[in-house]
Amino acid sequence: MSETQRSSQQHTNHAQHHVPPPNPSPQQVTGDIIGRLRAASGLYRTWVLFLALLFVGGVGGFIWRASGGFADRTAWGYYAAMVMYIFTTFQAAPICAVATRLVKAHWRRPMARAAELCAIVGVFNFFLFLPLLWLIPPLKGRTSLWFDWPLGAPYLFDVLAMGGLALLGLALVWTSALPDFAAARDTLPERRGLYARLSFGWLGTKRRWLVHEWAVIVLGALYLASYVMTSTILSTEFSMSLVPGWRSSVYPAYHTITGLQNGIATTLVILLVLRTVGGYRQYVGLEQFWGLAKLLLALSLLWFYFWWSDFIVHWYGRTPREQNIMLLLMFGPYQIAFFIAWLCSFLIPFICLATNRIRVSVLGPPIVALSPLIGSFFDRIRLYVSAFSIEDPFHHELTQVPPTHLPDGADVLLVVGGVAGAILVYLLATRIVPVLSHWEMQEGILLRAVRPLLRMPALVIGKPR
Amino acid sequence: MRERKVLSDSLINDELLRFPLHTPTWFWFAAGFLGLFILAFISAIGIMVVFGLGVTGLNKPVMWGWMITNFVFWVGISHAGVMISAILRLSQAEWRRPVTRAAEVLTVFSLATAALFPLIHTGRPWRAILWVFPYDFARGIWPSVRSPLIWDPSAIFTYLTGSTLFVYVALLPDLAVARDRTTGWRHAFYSALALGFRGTPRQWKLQTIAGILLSALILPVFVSVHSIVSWDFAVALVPVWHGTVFAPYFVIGAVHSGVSAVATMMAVLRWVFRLENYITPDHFDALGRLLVTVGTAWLYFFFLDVVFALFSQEAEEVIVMQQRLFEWPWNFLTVMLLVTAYVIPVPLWLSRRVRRSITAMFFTSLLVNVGMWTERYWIIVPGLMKKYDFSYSWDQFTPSLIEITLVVGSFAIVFFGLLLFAKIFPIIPIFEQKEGQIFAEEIEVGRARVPAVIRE
Amino acid sequence: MARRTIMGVYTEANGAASAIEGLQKAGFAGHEYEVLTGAPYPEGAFGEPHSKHRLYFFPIIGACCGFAVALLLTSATQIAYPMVQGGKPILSVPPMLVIMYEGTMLGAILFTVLGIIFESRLPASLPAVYDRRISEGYVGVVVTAPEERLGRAIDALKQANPDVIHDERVRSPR
Repeated sequence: MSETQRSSQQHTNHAQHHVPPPNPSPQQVTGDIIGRLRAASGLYRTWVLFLALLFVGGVGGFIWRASGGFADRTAWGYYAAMVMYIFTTFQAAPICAVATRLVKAHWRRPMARAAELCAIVGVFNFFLFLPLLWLIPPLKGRTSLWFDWPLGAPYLFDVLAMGGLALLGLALVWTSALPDFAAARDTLPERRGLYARLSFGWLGTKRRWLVHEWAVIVLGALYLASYVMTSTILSTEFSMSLVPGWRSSVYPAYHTITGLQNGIATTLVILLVLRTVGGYRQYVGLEQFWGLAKLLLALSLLWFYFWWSDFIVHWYGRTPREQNIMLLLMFGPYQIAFFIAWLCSFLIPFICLATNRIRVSVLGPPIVALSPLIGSFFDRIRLYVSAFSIEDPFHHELTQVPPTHLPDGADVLLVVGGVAGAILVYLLATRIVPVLSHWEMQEGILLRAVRPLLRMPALVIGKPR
Repeated sequence: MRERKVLSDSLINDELLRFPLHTPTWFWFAAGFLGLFILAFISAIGIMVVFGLGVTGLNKPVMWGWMITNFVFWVGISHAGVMISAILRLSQAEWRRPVTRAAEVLTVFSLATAALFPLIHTGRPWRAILWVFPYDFARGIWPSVRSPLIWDPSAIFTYLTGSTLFVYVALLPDLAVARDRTTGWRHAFYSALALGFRGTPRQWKLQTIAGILLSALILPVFVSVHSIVSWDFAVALVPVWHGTVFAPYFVIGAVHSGVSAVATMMAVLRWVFRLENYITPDHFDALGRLLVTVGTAWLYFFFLDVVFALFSQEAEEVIVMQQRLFEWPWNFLTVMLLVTAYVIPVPLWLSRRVRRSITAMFFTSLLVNVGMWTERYWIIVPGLMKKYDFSYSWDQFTPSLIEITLVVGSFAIVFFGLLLFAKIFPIIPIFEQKEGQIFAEEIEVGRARVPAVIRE
Repeated sequence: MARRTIMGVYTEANGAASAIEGLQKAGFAGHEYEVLTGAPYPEGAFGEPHSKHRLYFFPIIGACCGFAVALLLTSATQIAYPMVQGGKPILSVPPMLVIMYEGTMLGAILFTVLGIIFESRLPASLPAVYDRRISEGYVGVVVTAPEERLGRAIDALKQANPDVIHDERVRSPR
């Protein structure tokens, strides 16, 4: 072979690296997604058992904590941080599905359900959230979002916000999964009863599909709006308004942005599990990890941006009020938590994901995603534990910064049990709701083709309407 | 995408180079008309320099008025280009193709115009350079890095340089087309600018990468520019200015007004240059959808700003808020900015019919910018009016004829710049259109043929 | 050895792709031929070899330069003129960061643009043979090879039905 022939051979080989994979057959997709609802693996059962044990431990921790009563708000700081951590991670994850559906991103298909299914955890978190209501101090004499009125504004609106979000999440998952339930009804005779009830007599008529598409988009948009509002209200209610003199208008937006960041991170980790042990290697691939990695990179930059917007204004203001707030939240008793949050939520994901080799890979993004998940945990601690440690919120300014409140045994049990409970709920939900959206995958097959463009194979994506 | 026209390369060349290569009579009238306003603008500056800042409506507590409002407004508009161009490039949105260049050029001219305002506001523009750049080795006096007024020029300089180069790099292939279709001095001019671009696979590949890489680099700059502009206000302890939300609030407001300005401009381009083959209702539909999201985000930040000013229960914040919400003319301006920037346009954009109507999009997007100009004025002036809460040295602000001339003139400068650019260069990227034709495909779903695109 | 440049001009992209195939079969290496198009086709569409570039180094170098200059400028001006303002330290890091950020980005952007121009091998003169109709959708295949092998190149170009083949002698080896 001459040198030139060899080089042209190399070029052809090189071009072949970019060949997009062919479509799987519709039957294969049904078998892989719906068929997997039939039986659970041994590994799955082991994990369910393990998480259930941890959750029971958490219940024990709760009883231990509750036996001390609700008068001492400081003692409940870690509990509040845990509830808000689940809110920031699991309850934000559906937004990945919502946003990518809104912009009709083709690569979302294998990811959307895994992300939106996290909304189920919202119901669990709603019950975890309820005890926090007993910890809200009276409105008189402190800053608050609410006016003091007979119905008891904070209690009513907080429950409405959190409950509404949980309900919307359920509605979103159920509506989106309707066609999948119908597919399960028609393919799994042994579980026909359950799926017949869940699918509400779904038939894939044209009209039904049109309504379904519209409903999924509208419910998704509502979920997004509701998440932003709930994040705004709860972050103000359970941290900012408990600290006299803390009045940062960017804080609720910062809280929401961290939610979006951790929603993406949560989805990435779930996708890795689906790919490695869930048996979806063929469906969950580079496209999904890369797509989410780009978003995670952008959100990590936004984390810094929103934090910096807050910091620079306080740093310049330099009033005693502002200096004490900076001390409490960043450079004082919770400086280690703040430092870890800063490192893990911004610096590590930024540097890693800015590197092409890590961003454009399957393993890189989900492993990097663990970093903001850890960072956000410490971030919630510095925000909520510090706020809960203020004994007297009825002042105009914070004059004394309280010392660090470290967790005790009950806190450890509570936090670990709570997070384990959230994962457990998700795992249990995957036994009923297909973890890959069957209808979106089937639609994807219809709208995707691999065709030659002159001398190279090219991926063609249909864009209806 | 519903409408997809098959256009030959030579037709695309002809239509998009028609205005640069042939001069209609109306061009001279338009240029002359705008020139009159620019002349008035220059005269106003002359008067201000000769007689001092006393000829403006500025006074003791209100030392920033219309000029700074206009500065913030034009910096906001300048966020159109990179927002549209960078985000749509990064997300490989097909509908970006005819929009990118006009948006980028709008960025360049509005940013340059914006930069004029703080400069003339100094009263002695020629000395401003001495306050900004480190030069004074003799006296040892250096610019203060701690002042946000020093951050501004650094951010604007970076953004202006970046976006100008961005426009130029993306213009290279089109300059080559112009070179190949001209003779004489025009040929020499375009040849020199095209740098010998000839369309090899390597050059095209780098052109594509350049679009993405420069987008990714300019996007963070774009965010920083309006943030820094916002810190001009926010880092000061002036009531209602000292808000942490200012940076993202200003940026999202800039995007709202910038994308709206792009919609307005696209409508004008379509009408004036008869670009029906390139700027279609699909593009307005997509812009409308984007604007619904951006507008709603802006409203969220607007409320954060208002709610948390009241949340603070600080006496001075509450006084200014009270004035904004209940005292004439500020109560009118509050309602006006909300109605024009959100209440009218955004619900209308929820309707597909409105989004696809170019006339409707022209007027609604124009309305947004009326609202956004008002919003900037509403943000800047009231805080200053009651700045000295101890001495009660409070005053009102009324713009003088000079300031009105300057503001009107600034619009003329930007329009003139756009017109001149469109006269010399293709305002719609020719190569992007051709690429769009190559990437257009169809997929058969049952009996239906669905429009499709090739993804690299 | 004298080299000469010829160019086959094709009305359709497919013809040019066939011509490239023919050239490859005739034993021409990737650096000996070049496709000229008026619009960007995805790389590899004509079966041409993928080209390598080092564009990604440019922004990194530029960012480092910009950062260094900005760091020097901001710290030096503050130290050289030590005036306390609003109780802030003389060497205030947060405001320095703002300007250093802009400096870094400016450096990165400037170097990227230089990199794009350099990596695109611009500025350059047009090839010895050129056809203006390339901007109208025609596709050109330029071959620069030693005289004795050009016959094979012309055969390969002809087999793909060109509209015209331009041929021009180049004086110096390219």
